[in-house]
Parts: sequence; structure tokens; C-alpha cells
Amino acid sequence: MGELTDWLNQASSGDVGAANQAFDRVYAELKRIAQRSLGSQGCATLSATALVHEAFLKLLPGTAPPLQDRQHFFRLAARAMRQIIIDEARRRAAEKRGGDVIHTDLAGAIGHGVESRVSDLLAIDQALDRLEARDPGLTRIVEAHFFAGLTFEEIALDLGTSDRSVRREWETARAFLLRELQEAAPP
Amino acid sequence: MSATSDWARAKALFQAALEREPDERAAWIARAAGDDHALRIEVDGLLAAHIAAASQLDGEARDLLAGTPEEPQLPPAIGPFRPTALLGRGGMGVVYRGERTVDGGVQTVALKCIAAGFADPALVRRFERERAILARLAHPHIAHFIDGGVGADGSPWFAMAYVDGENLLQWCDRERLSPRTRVRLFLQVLDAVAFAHRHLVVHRDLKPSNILVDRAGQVRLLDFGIAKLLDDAEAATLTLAAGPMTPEYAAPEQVAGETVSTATDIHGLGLVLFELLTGRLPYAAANASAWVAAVRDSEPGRLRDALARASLDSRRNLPASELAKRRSLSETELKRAFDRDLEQVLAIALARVPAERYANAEAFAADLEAWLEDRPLRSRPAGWRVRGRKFLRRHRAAVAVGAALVLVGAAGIVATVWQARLAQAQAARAEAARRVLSQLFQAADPQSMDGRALSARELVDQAAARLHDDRRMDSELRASLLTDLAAVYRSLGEPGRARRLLAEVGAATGIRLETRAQALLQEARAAISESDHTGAKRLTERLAALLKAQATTDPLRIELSLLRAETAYQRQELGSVVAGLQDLLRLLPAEDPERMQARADALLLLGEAESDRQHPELALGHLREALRLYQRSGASTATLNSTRHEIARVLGTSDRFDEALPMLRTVLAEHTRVFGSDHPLSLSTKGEIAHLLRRQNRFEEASALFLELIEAKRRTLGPDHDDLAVAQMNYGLLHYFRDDFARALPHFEEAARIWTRSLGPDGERTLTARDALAVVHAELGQHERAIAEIDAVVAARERAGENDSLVSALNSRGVVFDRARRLPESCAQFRRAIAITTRLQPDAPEESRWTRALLGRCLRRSGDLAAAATELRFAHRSFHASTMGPGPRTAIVAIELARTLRAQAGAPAEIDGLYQEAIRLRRDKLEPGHARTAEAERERADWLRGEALPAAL
Repeated sequence: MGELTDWLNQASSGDVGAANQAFDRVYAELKRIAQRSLGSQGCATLSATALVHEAFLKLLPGTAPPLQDRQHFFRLAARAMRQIIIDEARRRAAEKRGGDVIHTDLAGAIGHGVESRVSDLLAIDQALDRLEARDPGLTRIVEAHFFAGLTFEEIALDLGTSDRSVRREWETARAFLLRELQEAAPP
Repeated sequence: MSATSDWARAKALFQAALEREPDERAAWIARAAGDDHALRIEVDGLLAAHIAAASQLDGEARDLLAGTPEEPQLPPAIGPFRPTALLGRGGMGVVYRGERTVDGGVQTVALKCIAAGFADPALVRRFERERAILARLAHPHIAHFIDGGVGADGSPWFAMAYVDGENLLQWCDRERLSPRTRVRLFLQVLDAVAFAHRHLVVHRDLKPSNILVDRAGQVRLLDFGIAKLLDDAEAATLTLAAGPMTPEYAAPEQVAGETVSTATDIHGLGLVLFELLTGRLPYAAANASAWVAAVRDSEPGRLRDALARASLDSRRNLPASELAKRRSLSETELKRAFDRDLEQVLAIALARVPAERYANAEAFAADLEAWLEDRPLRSRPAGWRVRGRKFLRRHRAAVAVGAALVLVGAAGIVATVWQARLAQAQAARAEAARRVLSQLFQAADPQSMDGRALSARELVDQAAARLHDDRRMDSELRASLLTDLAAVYRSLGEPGRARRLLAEVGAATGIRLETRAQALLQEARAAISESDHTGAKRLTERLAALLKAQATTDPLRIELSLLRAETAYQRQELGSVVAGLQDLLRLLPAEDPERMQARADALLLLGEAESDRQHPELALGHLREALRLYQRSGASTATLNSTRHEIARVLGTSDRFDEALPMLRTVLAEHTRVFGSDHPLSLSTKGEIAHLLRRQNRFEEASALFLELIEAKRRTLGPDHDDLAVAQMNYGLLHYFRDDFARALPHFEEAARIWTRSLGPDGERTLTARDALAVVHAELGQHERAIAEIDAVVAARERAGENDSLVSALNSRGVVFDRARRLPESCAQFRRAIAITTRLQPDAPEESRWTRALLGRCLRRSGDLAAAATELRFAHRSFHASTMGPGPRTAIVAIELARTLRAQAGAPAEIDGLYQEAIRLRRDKLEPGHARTAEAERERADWLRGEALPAAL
């Protein structure tokens, strides 16, 4: 799929339209895989990291895409995963407010008693927006680790730093987010 | 506190605080923040949140949606099994513990669900067939494959024996096992892999997480054959289960997307053993793509170096002292454990080229056992002092025992398709005979070899001797092994020994007709290699009698027809080759899939014959059809590319360089990708490219290629190999055609030395080299030596009758006499050469253009100016008309013509035109500052000043 590679390249040279195209493509693919994996009677429920890896194989086939493409891809995919999960959380929150539960594809995989967690997710998303304003780098790490399930080693490989320093950044971001959540929590 | 700069300071302070001991942090922050209260509040808040919820958010966001990890949603049923717990999730699927009730008892299994769909029902059927094979794979160290299936949604699942165990690496570290104990445990892994390979099951994904040690301390391999099963799945790339991010356990051929075989598992085993011993991996790479590049392009590191190297990977960056501790040794002791033998074992297992690795897990195990018992390794003789990789390079065929058959088989003089096909056929039989043969080879006693490395030849000799002595062996098996060994001898250039082995098969009784026919076929081909025409004919007739009752379309009968054509081709009876093959082709329907390869074989040989009959267009037609059939019948890449090589070669003989060169370059890239750059097939193609570049006068490019070729051949074949002589000869010719005789001399000498040694002083190729050597000596003023040499060459050529070789020997003798100023004798040689060429090719007078130029010069020097001018004008025209375009020889002709015209007081404009042409050509075609260019410039300048031509010219 040369298409995505082209968009990634254009995006890296600052083309916003191409960046959006690439994001949409990755988002759509991740969502498609997520729905399929959740629809298969739970047998093959994929972890977020597996979803991202599978999307990678689908969208950038071939043995070794250029490192730059890979880095772009995983950043995009991490952002897309955040979007997918938050969209789903919003949908469930809305369902709950509406009072009638619709068992659609994703809903089938929801466990019991997770309402509070859904609202946690929405709060985390908002806190993440505040973090973004201060430190976009930390936000990327949260998206990659927390939303896309990439390990510190994997993130370090693509950022070209040590996983020790990724871990330190993650701890910083986590402290920030938790503090924001505590402050936002009702007394 | 919202400005980015404030945050940057808070972040730096927070991170620095985390570096302190927990009880010092608060005081430290107070000190560092000083009067900045906002900053202090910010950092304190972060630290409080950090302490309060150190583990929160450490899962995945998706877990928050899907429920807590402790209460996973279990599917109600997978096949006949009921999942009872989630064991793990990662890679490309999920693993559950599952149960079912069998005969009143409860069977516990590990259930693996893969998120990949089978789109095609045919794939499902194949999956089910493979599954049956795996289910029969029962071995104490392999987690038994119990069942597998495809769910309603198309995603495959597998059930295998549930192993309550721990990852091999972790277990060894926890138990603080010494390297020796680790190796002993690793032998269980090898045993399991050897067993699976014998049942033709390849793992393809060997890595520590797939190797467990159970409660009883026994090794259990997981996921055997699963990668292969999944290969048919929609997303085949999923088999890189670790995902594209961490290709740490992929072999070079996997990284390159090439064919995966048992050799891939050997590499995987090498990596696991390396990590088991050192706690590190053999490559240093900062990230995944650097890792891929390192695996593909560099040699693996040594055990000792790995220990000294800091790992870039956090999971493997324990200090050497800690690694030693986990092996119950001191650092020094650990280093000492990694001795030269162990390094050697790892170097072989991790060889980049699959064929250089251990041929099988048994051979790998045999070396490790030898190491454990302090015996010399089987893969190297005692007293060997050279480093492993060097040894590998010199004796790669001897090391990879089974692969020796294939490698040696391909190392013929000129790799033609026939040889590629022969190597392939050998490889197929070798595969079947590998176990028996490798035992034969392994029995070779390294200590009897006076500390020398065993050559492939010696290994084969010992195998043959054992085969000769072993009378208990099944006669059928023995006959086919003898036939295989004979094929090896034939490709080693010893058809005589091949025939002696095959005679043993001939004398044997009670073997099947097919086995006997194969032996006769092989024996006849050995006779052809020996140029024993009568013998070949007699054997062919015996084979014909044996196969009389078979149908004409029987594969062996078809082989017989091909053999007849080969025999005729060898005798250069091209007419009967063509007639015989055309008869054969009538028996082989064009689109019959069963006979497609045989038809392609026949067309290929027909193409070669037509090319020799100077019918390049016909030849190209046949060769292209052969290529198409090979493609359709799924012939190997080697066969396809060798056929392309032949097509390009024929294009080259027709001077169609623009078509031939790109084709050869593609073939070279393919051969290099498949076999490596030093393989005989790659080198042969490289040689053809260099040859064509030289013929196009593209000397710089040709020269660079020839040097590469000579270096590669010397490295891989040794200093005395015939193939090296070919390269030396061609490179010498390149210098010769540029009149650089001093540089040509050593290369011709080397070629003549090698060929005299292998073919005798009168061998066809030896004579070619000696001919060239004589001329170069003459050019360098060593006349007596030159005349003696060329007289011997001409005498030997005359014995073979009138042909192109005699023409070129006569030309050479003419030049040699000319340089010795014996002009009447010189002119006589050229006249005789022209007469022969005209008889051989009455329709192509331009073929003698160079001889005519030489005669023209001789005539001019003899004073016969009119006759000289006629010859030289003819030669000049012919060189310009040649599709190769004018080259250095054209310059010589132009100058000779100018000199003749000067002596005849011809038109100055024409004379100057010729001089200028010569100067221009020499500037273009010879390297800058070449003496001949300066000579031509000087001669023209002297002429312009009115000076006479020196008498010496």
C-alpha cells in the first residue's frame, strides 16, 4: 500500500492534508480490526498492541519499511488508538445516560461494573489534552504506552532513546495525569 | 503555573527527585526550588500522585474498557475445549488454559487463538492435513500438539499439551546453571528439533519464550509447526509472531524474505544458545531496523565480545559480573568457558548463509557433546589453529556436511543450466540420503588427517570407503547412495572415480530397474565428462536395452533421449543433436504439465546446439520457450535464472549488448540474493557481464568486475582451481587488447600454470593461455621464448585440424615472427590463417579483418605497399562496420594505413584524418596518459613537421 507511505512522507514534510489522510487510513484500519477481533466470540480478542501490529502489517506490508515510515506509523496508530478507545467510552457513557443498552459489536466485549472506568477514561482524555498544551512529547508517550500498548523498549527504539528514559518520562506523565484526575474528582 | 517553561522546570525537578532515595526527596525539592513556591507546590503534587498510585494506569487503556485483567471474559468454548483461564495475551493472539473430558478424565491443554482469518476453503483443508502431521509428532521434549481447528469466524486455534513451566533463560538464571550445564540442557532442545526435522516439521520461530522447562526440569518446546500452519492464513506475515518491532530471533533469510528451511531453525537454535550462554544477543543494534540490517549484513559477534559489550537492550544489560554470578562462576571463569571450540560452534550455527550452518541438529549436537567431553569437534580437525570464520570460508563445503553435496556439485567450470539442474537433482536425492550420508561423513576421523582441515574431497573419499566396506546395508539404498556419491565425484571433476562406483552398482543384483537405470544414466554422463565417446555410446545402448520395454514417454526413456542428444552435442554432431531433440519434442505435448520440464530441458539443449550452429535467432526462440515452460512448471529460481543467463549469453554473441547486459544484471542480482555473491552461479554471471563489457570496450567497468571475480574465486575455490584460470585469462585479455602487455603477462602465466597442472600442457584451454603468453613475450622482446612457445601451440592445434583455434594460433605466430623482424615467415602465417577462415566461413569475409590488418602491416614493412593498402582499407572498413564499434585495434589499423599512404605519397588530408582518428580512439579507449596515445600524437606531429617515419616502424 504505497498510498499510506506517500501520505506519511508528505506528512513528515509538513503537509497537514496528507497527515489527516494518513490518520484516517490508520484509524479506519484499526477500527476494522478491533471490531473483527471483538466480534469473533472472544476467542481471538486482540490486545491493543496486537491491533496496532496487525494494522502495521496490513498497511505497510513488506519486510522492512524505512524507519521513518515506521516511526510515523506508530505515532499515528497510537493517536488513533486513543481516539478509538475514547470514542467507544463516549458512546458507552451516552448509552448509559440514554438508559437502553444496545449490544453492538464493541459492547459485546464489555465486562460488568466498568462504568466508573469509562468515566475515568474520559477524564484521562481531558487531562491528556492539558498535558498536550505543556508537553506534547509526554502525550505521545502516553498514547503509545497506555493506549496502543507499546512497551517501553519499543517506544525507546523508535524515539532513539533508552527505555530507561522513556520509563522516566512515562512516570512523569502518569504523575501529572493522576494529579489532574484527583483535582478534577468531586469532593 | 501553565507556561511551558514552568512545566519544563517542574518536570526536570520531578525527574531529578525520582533519582534520589524516597526519604530524601522532599528535602531535596525544598532546597532545589528555593523561593519559587509555585514550582515547589507543582513538584510536590506530582510526587504525591506518583507515590499514591505507583501502579495505576500501568495496564492498558483498553483493559479499562474490557474489564479487569483478573476477571477476563472467557469464551464459552473453543472447539471441544472449555477455556478456564487466560494464560497470556500478546503477539498475535490469546492463550487460554482449557479443559475437556476424555474417557472420564480431565485433559488440560493450552489453547492458542490466532487473530488471522482463512479466506479460502482450500486453505482450511490444507490446514487440516498439516494438523494431522503435527498430531503425530510425539516426543518427550515437544509439547504435544493435540488438536486445532478454524472457528466460525475463520480464525484458527490450536490445542497443545499444557506445560506448567518457566522460560528456559529465566529458569537457567534462577537455578544459576553453569555454561556446561546449560549446554547439557540445550542438548534436549536439539534432540527435539532433530526429531521434528526428521519428520519434516520445521519450527521457524524458535526463541526462548517458546522453550520452557517444566517442574521436572525437562525442556519442552512449544508451538512446533504452528508457524508453517499459519503460513497459509490470510495474513502470512503474522508468523513473525513477535511482530515487526522485535525481529530479534529472525534468521538472515527470514529478514530477507527468503525461503525458510531446517537451516532457519539451526540459526534460531544458535541465537537461543548464544543468549543462554552470554545473556546477550550476538548483534549490537540501537533499534529494530539496525537490528535487521545487522542480521542481514554482518557477522555475528563472539561470545566473549558479547560479555564485554554493554547491551543497548534493557532486558539484556546486566553487568558481566551479574551474568557470571547467575552462572555460578567468576567473570574470569565465565570468559574462559567461552573457548575457541565453543566460539566455533556458534559461528557455524549462526552462519549467514544457510548452507554454511550445521546441516542438521544432530551435527550441532555432536559438536556440543564433543565440547562437553573436551574432544575435538567433528566440524574441525585437531590442531587447527585458524579462527572459525576463516575456517568456514575455506572449507564451507566440508563443514555443512549434507550441504557439501549441493555446494560441491555446483562448483563446475562454467555454470550452465545443466549444472544447475544437476545440483538440484543431487540436492533432492541428498535430502533423502542425508541422514545416512551424514553418518558416513561424520565417521571421518579428524585425528587421522595430520591436523590438516578435511577437504570436501577427503570427506567424500572416506564416505565412499565406508560405503564400500559396509556390506550389511540394504542393496537398494546402497545403490542409490553410490549413485549420489558418483554424482559428487563427477562434479568434483573425477568422472573416473564416479564410474568405478557406478560399476559397483552395475554388478549388484536384485535392485530395481529404475535404480539401475539411474546409475547407467549417471555413468554415461561421467563417460561424456571423460570425453570417452565409445564408452558413452556403449552405456547409452545398454540403457536403451534396459528400457526397451518401457513406453517411449516414460520419464527414463525421455532421459535416455536427452542423454543421446548430450552425447551427440559433446561430439559436436550438432545436426544429429537437433534431429534427435526434435523427435523427442514431438513426444512431449506442448502443454502437458507432466512433461513440461522435460520439454524445457530438450528446448534448452536445442537452443545451445542452434547457438553453436550460428543460428542465434533460432536459439533464442528455443531458449525463451524453455524459460516459459520452466516458469509454468514451477522450476527453481536457479534454473530460471540460469536459462536467462543462457539467453543473455546468446544475445551477447550477436552483439546485442543492450538487451544482454540488463538481463545478466538481473540474473546476477537474483543469484546473489538466492545463493550469495560468492556462489559459482553468481560468479559465472558476473564473468559474463565483465566479458560483454570488455567486448564493448567498456574497460574500466570490466576491469573492476574482473578483479572482484578473481578475488572471489581465489577466496572460494583456492589458488589452483580451473575457474580461477578462466578469470585470470579474461582479465589478461582485457590488458592485452589495450596493448598493456606487461600487465597482461602475469595473468596469462597464472592461467597457463593452473591449466597445465589440471589439463596437461596440450589441453584446449592450456593452449589458449600459452598462445597468449607467446604473443606477450614477443611484444616484450623475448623472441626466442615466444617462438618456441608458439611453435608448440601451432603443432598441437594442427593435430586437431582446421578450426578457429588454429587460425588464432597462426595469427599469433605471425605476430611473434613480426616482432622478431622475420617478415616473410610472418606474412606466410597470416596468409594461411586468412585461407582457413575463408574456408570455414566463406560468407563472412569480415571475420578475418584483424588477420588482414596484420597482413597489411607485414606487407608494408616488406615493401609491398599496394597490397598492404588493399588489406588495410578492407580491415579499416570492417572494423567501422562492426557492431562493437571501433576500438584500440581500429586505431592500430588507422595508423598502419596512414603509414602506408605516407610511403605511397598519398593525400595528406586522408593521412591526417587517419592519425586524428587513431589519437581520438586511443584517448577514448585507453586509460589517460597511455604510452600508445602519446606515440600516435608524436608520430602525427613529426609527420606534420615533415620528418620521415623511423625505420623501426
